[in-house]
Amino acid sequence: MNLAKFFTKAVISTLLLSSTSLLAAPEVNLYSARKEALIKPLLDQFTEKTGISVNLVTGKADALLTRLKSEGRNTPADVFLTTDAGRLHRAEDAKVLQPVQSESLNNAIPASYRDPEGYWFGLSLRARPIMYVKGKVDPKTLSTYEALATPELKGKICIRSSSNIYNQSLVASMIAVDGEAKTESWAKGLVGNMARPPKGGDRDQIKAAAAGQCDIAVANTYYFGKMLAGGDASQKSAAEKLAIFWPNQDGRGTHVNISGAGVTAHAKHKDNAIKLIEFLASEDAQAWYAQVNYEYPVREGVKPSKVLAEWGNFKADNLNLSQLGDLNSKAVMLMDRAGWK
Amino acid sequence: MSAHLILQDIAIRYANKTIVEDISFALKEGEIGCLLGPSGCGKTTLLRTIAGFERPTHGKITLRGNEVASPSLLVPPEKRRVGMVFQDYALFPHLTIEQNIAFGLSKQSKPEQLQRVDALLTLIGLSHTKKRYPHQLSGGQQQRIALARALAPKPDILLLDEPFSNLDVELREHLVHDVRQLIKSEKVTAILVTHDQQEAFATSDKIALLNDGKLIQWGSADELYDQPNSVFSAEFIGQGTLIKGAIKKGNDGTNNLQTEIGNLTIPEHIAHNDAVKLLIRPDRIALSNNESDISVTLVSKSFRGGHYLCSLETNNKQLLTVRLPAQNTPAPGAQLFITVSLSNTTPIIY
Amino acid sequence: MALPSSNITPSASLQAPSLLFRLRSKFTSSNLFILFLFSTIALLALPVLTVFSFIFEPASDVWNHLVNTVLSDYLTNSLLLLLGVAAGTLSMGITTAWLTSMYDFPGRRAIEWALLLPLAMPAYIIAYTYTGLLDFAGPVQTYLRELFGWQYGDYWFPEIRSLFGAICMLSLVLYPYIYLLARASFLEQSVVTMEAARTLGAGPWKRFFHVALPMARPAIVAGTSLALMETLADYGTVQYFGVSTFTTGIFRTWFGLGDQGAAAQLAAMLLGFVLMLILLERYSRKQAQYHQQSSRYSIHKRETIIGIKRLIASFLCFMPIVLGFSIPFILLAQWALGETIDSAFLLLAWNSLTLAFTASLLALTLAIILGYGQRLFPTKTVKAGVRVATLGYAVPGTVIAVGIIIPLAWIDNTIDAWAIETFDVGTGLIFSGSLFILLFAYLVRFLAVALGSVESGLQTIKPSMDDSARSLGFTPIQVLRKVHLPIIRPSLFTALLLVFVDVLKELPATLILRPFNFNTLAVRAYELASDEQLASAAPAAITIVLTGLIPVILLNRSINKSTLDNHQ
Repeated sequence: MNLAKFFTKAVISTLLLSSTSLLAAPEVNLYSARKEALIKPLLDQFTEKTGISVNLVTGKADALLTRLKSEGRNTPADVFLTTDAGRLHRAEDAKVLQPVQSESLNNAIPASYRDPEGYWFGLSLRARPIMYVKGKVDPKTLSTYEALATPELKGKICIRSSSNIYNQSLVASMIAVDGEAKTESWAKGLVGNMARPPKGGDRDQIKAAAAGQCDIAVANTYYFGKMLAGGDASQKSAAEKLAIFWPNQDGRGTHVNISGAGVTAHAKHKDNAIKLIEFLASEDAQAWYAQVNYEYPVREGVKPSKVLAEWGNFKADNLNLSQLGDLNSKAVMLMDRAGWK
Repeated sequence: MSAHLILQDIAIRYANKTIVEDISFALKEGEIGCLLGPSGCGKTTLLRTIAGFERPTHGKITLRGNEVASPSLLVPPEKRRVGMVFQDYALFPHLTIEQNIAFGLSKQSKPEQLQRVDALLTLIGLSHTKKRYPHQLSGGQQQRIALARALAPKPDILLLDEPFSNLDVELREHLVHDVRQLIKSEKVTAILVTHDQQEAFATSDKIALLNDGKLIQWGSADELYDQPNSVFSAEFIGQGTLIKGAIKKGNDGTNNLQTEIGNLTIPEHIAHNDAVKLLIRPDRIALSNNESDISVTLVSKSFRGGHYLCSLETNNKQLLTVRLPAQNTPAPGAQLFITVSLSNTTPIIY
Repeated sequence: MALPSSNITPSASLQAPSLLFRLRSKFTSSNLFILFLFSTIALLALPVLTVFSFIFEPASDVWNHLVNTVLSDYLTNSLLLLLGVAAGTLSMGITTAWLTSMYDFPGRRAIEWALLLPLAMPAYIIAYTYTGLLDFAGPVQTYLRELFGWQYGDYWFPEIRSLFGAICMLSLVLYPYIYLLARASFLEQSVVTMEAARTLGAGPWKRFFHVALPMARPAIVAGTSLALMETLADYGTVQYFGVSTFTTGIFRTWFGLGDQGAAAQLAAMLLGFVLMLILLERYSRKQAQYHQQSSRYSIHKRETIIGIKRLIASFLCFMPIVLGFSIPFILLAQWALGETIDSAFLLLAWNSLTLAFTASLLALTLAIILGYGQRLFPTKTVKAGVRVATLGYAVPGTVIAVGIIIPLAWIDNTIDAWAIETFDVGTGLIFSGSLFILLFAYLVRFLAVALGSVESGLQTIKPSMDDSARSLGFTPIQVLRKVHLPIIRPSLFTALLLVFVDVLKELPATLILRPFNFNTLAVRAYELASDEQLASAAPAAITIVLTGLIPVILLNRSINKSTLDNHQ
């Protein structure tokens, strides 16, 4: 059968292609928990600038971590990139990362957003503020995350499932400050205030609030930003009905998580790996996060995008991010107990 | 007593092809009828029409006084109260023997069902197979189960489609007898389809001889044997030889048929120019020692256990079949003399 | 495994001594076959066994927590989901299979193949589209609100993102498995057996429930188990709908609690449950047989139905197509309109196609070996081995990926260490670093699909046919090539195409195991969709569906052709 032959050839050539790419130089190999569309443009810029090509595999952070662990000494990966600090912390614990001393990174990234020993570096900030429906909620009545559990808000809050890492990090940050017992009773109060059982993603919470199902949504800023800027008219008009409220400004600040990266313990292209991370922390790259993905730069002095500027400045929680990783499983168990689906 | 099953003028056509035509016969209650004929004669189609799987293009079928089929009426098989035994038995492979037999009894209560199943199983001597599945039974056992399954709901008519064709000869002879006994003991009217005349003779009260979609002859076994109404009947049933004859008017005005082996007075209505044959059964021929009798040569013989079936040739190359005792049979090539008894022989016009 | 030699060559002992050398060559090929069979089973069972092996890790306190809080939730939801999907797929699959194989009504021919279309729809994609349509903020409810001036809470509307919604979504895309296998079985059933039932007074309902349905049982069970295993493995739909099932629990335990051991233990529990179901079904069959005893097949005739009945028949067959394919397809097409398709997209499509094609060919080959192996050596060991080797279908892709990467990377590293020691040159990751691991993962995941088809095909061949071919001097392998494969060609085609479509849709294992810079349509669609960019995901999703359509159409043609062949 000719077709079969044709396909066989094609498959063999695909197989060969993927292995020869490992021999080409110079290059750097990246395991990324950040999705391709949200990282590829930056990687292309990096290649253009340095001539180092970047090979990419994307996937769920924990799955990539398992792959790193099993591959051991032979892993092709040079850089491991995740979208939250907890996973970086886990990777460090699993001994698949190595410490890196880079002056430019230490200068660019504030100490609270990187590992003290240089195992990982934060690259962008993802803030998780409260959003409210304009006209229905007086922002003056809003104050803190803790206040979301007050009985007055019964049936008014939309928030996604506790399986999501953003909520796990938020609760972990609260355990760090308020302690486990207090946070658990808070979580129970919050569950009682939910307008509906948690479902969907962050955009769904914003849409539900816009449609009248609830008054308050908790979501990451970049979803909000993308809805406002995106081509979908119905999403845009939904987002326009809401405004951002920065909670806990009088206290520890609004909860933030980071996306970040570290060099793997068995990196074969260590220098290139460091170059890549340094590039991702450079001003151009940092501005790109803000412009394109509505994330906040970790680097100080980078001009925020127009949309971000409109939302105003806020005080970010300066909790040491590695604690989020430590407390993550406690947070999940706590939410299980509180009945947060 | 009026007839139990009546077929009136039945014809079945598919597109332009005629399968059967002009079929009429009637069966009395409790009678066993048989559709006998060579393969392709339309006997199975006719049986399926009686069952309700096919619709007649012409004519009508009456069962127990109710019309069940005509070109405008088709009572479906499930409403017809027919029982059918299929050539390959078609037992349900996923049901036990007990469940197979009870399949048509769903309108009865469980104890009634069990009682009926037990009774039938005892009757056919297979009580021990109750909990088994069809594939665990032999062919002969499966055949009896199929019969019991068809009889269980006490159908108005039992239809058997070549029920013995999948069995070996020895088993067949044994079962043919059993089946007739069983049908008679259940007092059910039945129609059996077969291409085997021995089966037909052994089981049936009435036989419909079919050929090429037409009913050739309808009658009891001995009627068919002794008085075949056509060349086909004569050749299909039993052994024998057809001998041509010429009609001569006798001086006394009688109609005489002259053949090589003798003359016979035949009825008046047979016209001078009709072509007429005489059927000579083997048992009508006897050896003689009289050299003035008909002289023949023994051409061949085949042993039939107890006797030989022999072919004889007259001087005019006319072949005759005869049975000769197993002892002292002459060898082929021997010259013999025979006499032929022509009394009660019906001439066949063709 | 020692097998009695008489089992291998039953006819050999009867043959003349002059054929002794042929006898010996038979022996060797049989032994080779057994060796191959067992190594295949062992290799394929490796990932599942790896997952199972976590059972022996000490239980962590996470278990306590799970038992006290969410485990009962996982169990109830998973069970309800299974029951619901079983009810949904069985009712849709069997109804449509029965109607299209027994009756003739307007549009039947088109319906016959269109009923397969939802097979090409990934469950999570259909979930996204229906949510977009029926959610509180979606166009339907918004329109209703505008029309009647309702507010939130003024009216009741079925909540799509719920357990019930998940049951509907999964049923809509999984019923074709049952339709496909049940239809083939109905068409193959002996017409005479049905006629026998009619003469015993059985009306259409009784014939359906007491004869046709039980006789189609192996096919229906095979279809249902495929649908249910896929249900258990589903993560995308239930996660999006906020239904916590065993599978979401596995992920939550692994990712959220960071306890891979406990997660694998949950997965092992899931597998144990699946095994139990399979055993229960086998046990309940007892001695009953399903292959047709009938040697004479009458021509299968469809009954033409008229009046209100035919309207109902058309409607019943149209609904699954409209709901499972047309509506989501139109929505996707609408979303895709605004998106651009570039050359990178063609590469994705190419990757998906070549992978799916290669994987389906491999899966078919292995399925034939396993299916025929079971027939040649129907011992308990072989049967149990085959069951374990195909359990991968019920395991969520991510979990199976872990079960694959752990042993394969270990093998790679061992070879590498040995090579370094011996030759001073490392071999790197031979298996786990290439597309090999991906193809292997597809085999582990989808072999069950191919095997199901091949097995049901082989079941229609009476054992006496094997014996007669063997007695004519054919070796088992020759019998397979000359007798079985030509006879079961339609089943082989079905196997090939089901795996093709499944690989095309496969996501979690592809995501984790693919080599650098290698993407597929499913990966692209999922990445965008899970980032809540449904519109951007639409072109990839629609391409999956369109690519999946090709085999679906071919599949239908082959079924029709084969039934025609049988009738000639």
